[in-house]
Amino acid sequence: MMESSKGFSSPRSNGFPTGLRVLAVDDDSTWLKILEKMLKKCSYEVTTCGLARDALKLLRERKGGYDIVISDVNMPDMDGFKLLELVSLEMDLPVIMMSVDGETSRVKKGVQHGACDYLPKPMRMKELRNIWQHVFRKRVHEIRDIESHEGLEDLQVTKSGYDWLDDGHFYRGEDTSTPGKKRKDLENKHDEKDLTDPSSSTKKARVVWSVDLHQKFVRAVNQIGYDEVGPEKILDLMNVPWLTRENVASHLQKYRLYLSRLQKENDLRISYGGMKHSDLNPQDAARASSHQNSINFQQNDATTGNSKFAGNNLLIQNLDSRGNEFHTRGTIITETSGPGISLSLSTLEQEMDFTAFDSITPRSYSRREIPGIQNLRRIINHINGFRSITMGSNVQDQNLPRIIELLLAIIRWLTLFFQLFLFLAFFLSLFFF
Amino acid sequence: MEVGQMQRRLVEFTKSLFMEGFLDGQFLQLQQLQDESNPDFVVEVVSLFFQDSEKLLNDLTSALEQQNVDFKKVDAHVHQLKGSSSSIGAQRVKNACVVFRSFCEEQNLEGCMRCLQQVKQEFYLAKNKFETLFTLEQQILAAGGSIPATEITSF
Repeated sequence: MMESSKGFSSPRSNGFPTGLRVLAVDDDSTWLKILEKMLKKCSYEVTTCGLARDALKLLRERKGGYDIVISDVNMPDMDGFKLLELVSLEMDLPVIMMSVDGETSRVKKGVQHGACDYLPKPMRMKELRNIWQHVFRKRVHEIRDIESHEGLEDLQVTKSGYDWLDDGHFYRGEDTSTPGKKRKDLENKHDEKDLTDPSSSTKKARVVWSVDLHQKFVRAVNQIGYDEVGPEKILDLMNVPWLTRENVASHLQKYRLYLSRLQKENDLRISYGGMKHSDLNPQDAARASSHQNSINFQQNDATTGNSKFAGNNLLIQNLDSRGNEFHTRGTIITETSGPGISLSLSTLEQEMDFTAFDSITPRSYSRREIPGIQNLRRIINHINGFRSITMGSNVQDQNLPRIIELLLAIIRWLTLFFQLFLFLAFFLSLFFF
Repeated sequence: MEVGQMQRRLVEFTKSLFMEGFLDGQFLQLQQLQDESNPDFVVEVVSLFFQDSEKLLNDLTSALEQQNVDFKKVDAHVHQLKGSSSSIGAQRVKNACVVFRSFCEEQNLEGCMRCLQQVKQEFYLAKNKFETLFTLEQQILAAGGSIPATEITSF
């Protein structure tokens, strides 16, 4: 198994576990000396550190320079448990905790913070001799993950192939054999690939960015610093063997776009405080509705499984209809939009005070409308953001959202006016006849 | 005194240290770690321990002499001392530390002061014993003999 693994980042002269690179961290210099001696006796390569901060610095400077970390959990400058967490998450290294105090609760806490083993002090040399198993285990799991992940990719291809077959053919008894055969073919392909080399994949199947993976990605980006970030640096930090530079690059691009959308949305929220809407044009109504339909269509294409979209869809679809449906629309939005859009029912209700038929001029409404418009704009920006992200198009950020906003505003104004006109007409008719 | 006699004396002395609880298995571990590449390993480690712990004891003393004794800090120091003493196998010092910690938890100042005295006593006693041990070893080596390995009969 070890032959097919990518191995350790520095070449090893002897067989594993000789030369295992250990970083020992302990504030007690007596223990540190003993540890060093013991580890050297196990033929490991030892680096010692008296402070947690120094240890972190060393780990960050020499990425991939260590295989395993052993650390005491009672240290003055940093909470040993925090160090455990940082090392196991950020550096993705197996970390062993040591303590004089062998209480179960303490050991539990250590494991919760990411420790893969616990050694009570005083430790015997034979216990230290066995620490290589944690490194080995990690490698084995990583290899297994690679293989299972590639299996998952294949499964996706298989499923889509199956769907295509369902759509394209009449579902007859005989046809059941073809999907099966197709799957088998793909499986064979998978097997063949397995035999050659599990890590070199030329598949074009999509990489599934799971929550876990994305978290690793974000952590890496934050660590590097958003300004200096680059696919290679991220790839290095993430330390996920099967991920390619291209995968990271495309995900980074999407992430960047998403962040800039969020930033814009924040800016808009601040800047659209007192804007008024005077350019309403009945001609725009037709354009607006067609544009609105196109928005719907494009939204349906957006393939992220985000619940926000459901909310947005409903909002825009219902814009055409009557005014009092705004109320229900409000509830729909707050239910389905989730955390992304912080719409509140109250702000939407503010503008929907249709019982008061007093001054219906655009001016007076604009004030109350503003929260609603802000919300709309937020929605628009989210839509635009995600739409452009998923389509990867080079959206001209300035013009398009504004146009859409204006059109939507026009639609709403027109709807309002129309409804009011109807009411007025109704009452007048009653009055005169 | 000839070499054989000195060696016997050393073995007896070492045994007594184990019997009286001054040393425990950890010390044997240290002795096993000593090899040609590091012939003075045990001496170095023990000296390091006594250096650091002396400082620790001073810190403890001053911490307990404060107006408002910070028992958490005192406990941290004692915990550290406990860890260090266990590293060289100074069992009696370690045990004294355990008692000390329980008084710290109770925030019993008087108890802590007494414990501190106890710990100091054990500490200096242990230091004495180690010095004797090492002197004996040096004498044997100077006379051209070799240090006999400590045999563990029953602990």
